[in-house]
Amino acid sequence: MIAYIFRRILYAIPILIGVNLLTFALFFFVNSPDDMARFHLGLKRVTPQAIAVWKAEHGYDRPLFYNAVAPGVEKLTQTIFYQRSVKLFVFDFGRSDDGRDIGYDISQRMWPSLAIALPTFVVGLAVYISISLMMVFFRATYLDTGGVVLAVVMMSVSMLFYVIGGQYLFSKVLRLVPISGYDTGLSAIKFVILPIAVGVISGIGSGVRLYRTFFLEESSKEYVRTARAKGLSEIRVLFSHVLKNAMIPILTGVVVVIPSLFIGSLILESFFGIPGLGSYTIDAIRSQDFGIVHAMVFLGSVLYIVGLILTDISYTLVDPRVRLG
Amino acid sequence: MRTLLRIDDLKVSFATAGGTVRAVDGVSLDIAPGEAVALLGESGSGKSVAALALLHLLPQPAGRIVAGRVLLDDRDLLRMSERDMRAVRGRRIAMIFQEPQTSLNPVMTLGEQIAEILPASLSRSKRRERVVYWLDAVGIADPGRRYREYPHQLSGGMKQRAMIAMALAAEPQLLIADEPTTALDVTIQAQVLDLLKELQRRTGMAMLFITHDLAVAYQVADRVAVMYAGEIVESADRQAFFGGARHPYAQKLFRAVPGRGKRDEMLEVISGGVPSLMQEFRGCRFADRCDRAWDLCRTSAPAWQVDSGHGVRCHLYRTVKGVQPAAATVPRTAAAGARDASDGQVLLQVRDLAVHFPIHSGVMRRIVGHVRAVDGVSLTIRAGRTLALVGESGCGKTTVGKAILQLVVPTAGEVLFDDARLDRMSPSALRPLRRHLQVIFQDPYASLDPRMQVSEILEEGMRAQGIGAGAAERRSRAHDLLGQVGLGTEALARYPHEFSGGQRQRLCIARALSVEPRLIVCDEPTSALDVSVQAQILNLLRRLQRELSLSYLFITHNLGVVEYLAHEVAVMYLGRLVETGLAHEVLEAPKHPYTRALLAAVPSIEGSGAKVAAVRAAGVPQGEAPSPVNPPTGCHYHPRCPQAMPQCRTDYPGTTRISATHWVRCHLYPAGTDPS
Amino acid sequence: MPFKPVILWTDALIYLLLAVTVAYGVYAARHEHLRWPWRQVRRNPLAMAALVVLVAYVVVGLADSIHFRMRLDGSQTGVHGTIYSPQVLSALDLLCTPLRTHVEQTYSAPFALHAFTPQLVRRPDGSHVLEYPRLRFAGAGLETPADRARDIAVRSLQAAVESLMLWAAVVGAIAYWQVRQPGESARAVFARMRRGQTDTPWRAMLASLGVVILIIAAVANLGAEYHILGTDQVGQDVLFEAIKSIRTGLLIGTLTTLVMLPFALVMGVMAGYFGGRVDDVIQYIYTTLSSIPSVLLIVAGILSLDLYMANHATSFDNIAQRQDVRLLSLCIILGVTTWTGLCRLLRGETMKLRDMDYIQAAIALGVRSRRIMTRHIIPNVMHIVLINVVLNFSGLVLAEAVLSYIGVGVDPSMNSWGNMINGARMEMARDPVVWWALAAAFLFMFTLVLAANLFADAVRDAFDPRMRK
Repeated sequence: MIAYIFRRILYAIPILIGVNLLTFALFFFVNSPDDMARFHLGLKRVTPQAIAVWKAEHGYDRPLFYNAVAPGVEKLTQTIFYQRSVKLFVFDFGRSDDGRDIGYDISQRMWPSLAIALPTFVVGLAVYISISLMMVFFRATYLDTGGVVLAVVMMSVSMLFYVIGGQYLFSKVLRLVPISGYDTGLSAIKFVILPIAVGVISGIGSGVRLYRTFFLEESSKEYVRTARAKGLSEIRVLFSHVLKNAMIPILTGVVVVIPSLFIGSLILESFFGIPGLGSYTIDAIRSQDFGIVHAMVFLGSVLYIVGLILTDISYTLVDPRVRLG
Repeated sequence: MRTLLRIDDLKVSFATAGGTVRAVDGVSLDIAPGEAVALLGESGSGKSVAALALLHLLPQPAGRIVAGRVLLDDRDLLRMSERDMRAVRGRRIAMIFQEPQTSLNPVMTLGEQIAEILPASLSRSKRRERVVYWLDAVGIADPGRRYREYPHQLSGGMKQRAMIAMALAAEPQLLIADEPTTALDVTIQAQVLDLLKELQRRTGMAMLFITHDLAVAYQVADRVAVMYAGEIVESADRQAFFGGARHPYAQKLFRAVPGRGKRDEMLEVISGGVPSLMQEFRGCRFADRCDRAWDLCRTSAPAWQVDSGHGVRCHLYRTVKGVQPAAATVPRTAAAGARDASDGQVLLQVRDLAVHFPIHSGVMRRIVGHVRAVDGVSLTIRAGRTLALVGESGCGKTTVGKAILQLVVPTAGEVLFDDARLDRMSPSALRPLRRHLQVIFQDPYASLDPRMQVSEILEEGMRAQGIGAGAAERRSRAHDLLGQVGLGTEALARYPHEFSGGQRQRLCIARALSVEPRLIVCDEPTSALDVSVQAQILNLLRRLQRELSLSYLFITHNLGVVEYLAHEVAVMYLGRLVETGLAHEVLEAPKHPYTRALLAAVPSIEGSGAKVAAVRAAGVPQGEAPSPVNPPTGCHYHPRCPQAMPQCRTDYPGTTRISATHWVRCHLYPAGTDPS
Repeated sequence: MPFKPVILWTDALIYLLLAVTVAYGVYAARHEHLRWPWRQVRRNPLAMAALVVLVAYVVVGLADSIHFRMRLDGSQTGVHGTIYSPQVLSALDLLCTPLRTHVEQTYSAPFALHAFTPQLVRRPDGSHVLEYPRLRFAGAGLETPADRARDIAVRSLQAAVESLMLWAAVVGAIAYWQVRQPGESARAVFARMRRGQTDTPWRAMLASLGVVILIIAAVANLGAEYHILGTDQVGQDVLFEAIKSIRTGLLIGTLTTLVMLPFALVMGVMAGYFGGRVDDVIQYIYTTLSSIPSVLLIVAGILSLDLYMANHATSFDNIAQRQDVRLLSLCIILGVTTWTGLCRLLRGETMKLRDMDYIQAAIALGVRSRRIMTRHIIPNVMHIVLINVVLNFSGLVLAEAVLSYIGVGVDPSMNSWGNMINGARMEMARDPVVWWALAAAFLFMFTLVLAANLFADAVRDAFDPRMRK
């Protein structure tokens, strides 16, 4: 098990290097740092001096890969690639365009993100599984058919509609919760409850449908027939046989996103004014801050890979056939 | 006689896209307490559907019980509520299924799964005690440990034993066993059948045993009922049935079973296939395939007639009761003689062939071991002859075939075809030689591309090998090939799914023949087929061999087929050959204990009961084949061998020649001794 | 020539896609294994009703993909020779000319005659008053505003009568066409259709078609005189914007999957078939790409593109071209994020197929690898590709709205539902609420996505072997 995790971490390194090279290419090959400076300075009538000053301020005044004028090791370290990409591996994210420490901002902003994303994830999972189990229990009845139709209709509605509709109804008309904002501690509840509800509801359609097919697929397996032949009640068959087995495909999709919950949801956070990483990214997009986007891409990949490893480990918990080694 | 379960005019239908299928159409059957009834029938006869219907386990919502009564203690199961039915399932009537691999829940321990069936009122420790008792009773060693294990930690045979333990733990009055040994190896099948008989005797439960295998029915049943196209066509005591089956269908089935006794004749073939059950039948359902049918059979359905306990549904027995009409003369074509001569040029020679699959482990995925699927096999195939490669599943026989065809890369050894080293060749150099070596697989449903028309399938090989000058010539050759395998030319424009299993296997043969091969590797080509269809394919293979002087490497576990078809036999155990010789040498005077055990394990209806007992005394092999990752030291067979000696545990035996053509690897026959 | 055709990149791809679809249809009709599942789809009433709606959207999208520049009147420009307007128009623009040209000052509610926001108007007496000014185009033909209700009623009735007649004609034509046995009257066929006893679910399809015709007739009759769905901040007709957004939605939904499809297919099949090093490299590529959360990958890509386009502004002189390049790039970047999933599926399926007996038999016959891949493997994985394409479609249409909202979607000046929502969402804070732009965008998007989901479900059920039992 330890050896397995160790190996997976080793495998992650070339992937993260690939991710880094890809973003680096996107940001610095497609466009030169000069282009970036000109862009930020307003494109028109930009003097070379202004460009040089902007580059120096933001650390883009170094060569891309090799610094011929620097001494010794600094030939490699005094480069944009080293400063912007290699340092990410030790989670040194550098500074944003307005001079703030990106690493510090991330560490501050991930908690509000988590305050939305984690409850959405947990409540969502519980709701989707319960509803789909109920539909499978009543399969081939009107309840099931109606549920499937409703699920298709719900998944055909844009998430933006749920957000805007939710805000309009609960904040503007009913005035139950504030329209947006955030606070720390217990008083955060009134701010997070609507985004969580919207997050859960917007996923019901696709979630329920997916889990229903998992449960149906398991119910058609032969061991379920064996269980029925033993005279077990339908509830018992569903919970102690079908659910246990269906957890395997469910985990595949679910565990991998757990670490990524830190990143939060771009839409929910931006609409509801939550100062998390999602809105951080949106702000970076609006101000075209490549440093922050670069850091977020790297962080996202790391968390995804952690998620993959967690998925494999979680298999050993639900599936006795899986042995890591 | 008291009746435990009375099935009365049961009718079951299935709603399909094409229409309603009347899978079971008026089945009546009584089972007495403690009685074992075999329900015998080919696939599609409705036997499993009937059994599932008894317990309300039909696939929903397609399956529907249309009519009938099933009385258990005067209560009609078919009219019972789901709630009441639960008290019957498992507790009064238990059921075990064909496929032990998929019939157990993979994420629950055996103990949990078996304990589920016990009344909740029992205490935890009591339940555990009972489960352990039953695990022990079905012959699972170390039941205390197995209690906590998961199904994947058990072999196939052990899983089926666990299934039996689960079924019996609540001590039902009736056990329905739906082909419980079909997925198992012949030695394991023998063990499981013995176990079932033994448990039945001990507990006094009744058994409804569903099978397609006449010999298995002969082994387990007190009474036999034969199903055909949704109806029971014959029912009798075992002695009466095996002494003289009455229905033409049953009679034909007996004659279609291959075996040594039929070596020199063509097998009886039941032409055509089972009729579609979507139609309304006017006459006898078997009339179209029966060579004794007359006008009446096509216009009126025969009634059920019973004569001293022997029931039959056939017009032949309508008028004169109790007198069995003389059996119709069946034209029997003698097969070509001179079968055992050992001349014939050497076509293919395999020397010390080994195929090892690496096992990776550890941080750097280092190779930590090998699955020794094939571990030093040498054999010779001569022109125009058949070599049968026999062994249990997992012994590596399929891998030998694939390695000869270069479909897997051999780890070591030589494959010589006409003095060409196939194993040394580059893929492009090999390609032109491939036309000489072709293959037919076991599963006719997986061996034809579902997206291709038959004409494309047949012409693909010709195109690849440059046979036939142009499209027109290839097309005319495809026509001829279909004729050769007994299919009409209208098949050319059709797709594989439009054909039955037997027809598909004919197409596979035609595809192999399309490149004019000299050797065909037949990998269990008939094991997925019904007996009557198997006979058609075996006859065809034999005719083609005669006409085209083909050689076959016939890979099989079915010794009946071997006895019928093979010139030479090689017996394989755990990656190595243990005995090789001419067919009659190996089959009539087997030397290796494993060969003997294999022969003993085959259920048979040939020969008298006494002989069966005698051969059985030689011993059904104990336990199951070990894993080829970690073969036992010394002789691989010693852990299962009743005659194992100390020497067997340490040294792998050398080759002992019994005759010019017959050799064995066993310490019982030290080199130089005269074994006879 | 009175116009000069303009073929945008996306137009070319749409024509190509259309050609491929037609070719597939011909191929499928000739191959039983494809005809059979499509016949299953054809029997599904819900799917076929959805298909009618989809076809209506596609027709609009195609009409919006025929682009040209009109010739300018020489007498006006005072230049000799032919001069073409710099403005790129589409066939749809011409069809919807009144909708396109009836641009008001600013917001107005559906069917309103007056602007939504009051303006300071100077009275002749010199005093200023706040007043809701009369709209320039809406209800221009009315004598007094009081006539509005009657006018709307008359026009609606007209639309109803027209559409009923047209619909009846279509029903009659189909009933006549569907006469199968000689001697059966078209009336009898109609009766069968009405009872839902036809093999193809004509009843559902015709009902759905009736609704579509009714909507078109209503737009034709009312749209020229009123702003059925109001106007937006710059006075543009919201209905027209929503209709123009259809092409964007369809493009995102289809091109995204299709531009990356060849890569996914070739790489997935190669990885699965050859295994070994080839597999390692391809697996590395898609694991790397899929490890970046897709939103962030899109953000990175689009930001980089923005920068590039800003610095190379001269290469994108006209607005239609700029929008087009941006749209196509978005499709490609989105495609990269969906490509990896399909590639992985295809790799797995190919690995399963490679061990199938019929592939082994083909190898034993001496068939070359390339031929095995093209003749055996690709036809046997195409159902996965098809299911993937149809299932992805609706998700991508929805994604466009979200991405445009975040600021990494299509060009902000382009007509799209996402841009409409983005532009209108701040207006939710107004009192009374400006709801119509949002409602229009959500309604058009919802209809398309729901129809696509229903149709995709039927396609999946018919083609997925696991669903076939």
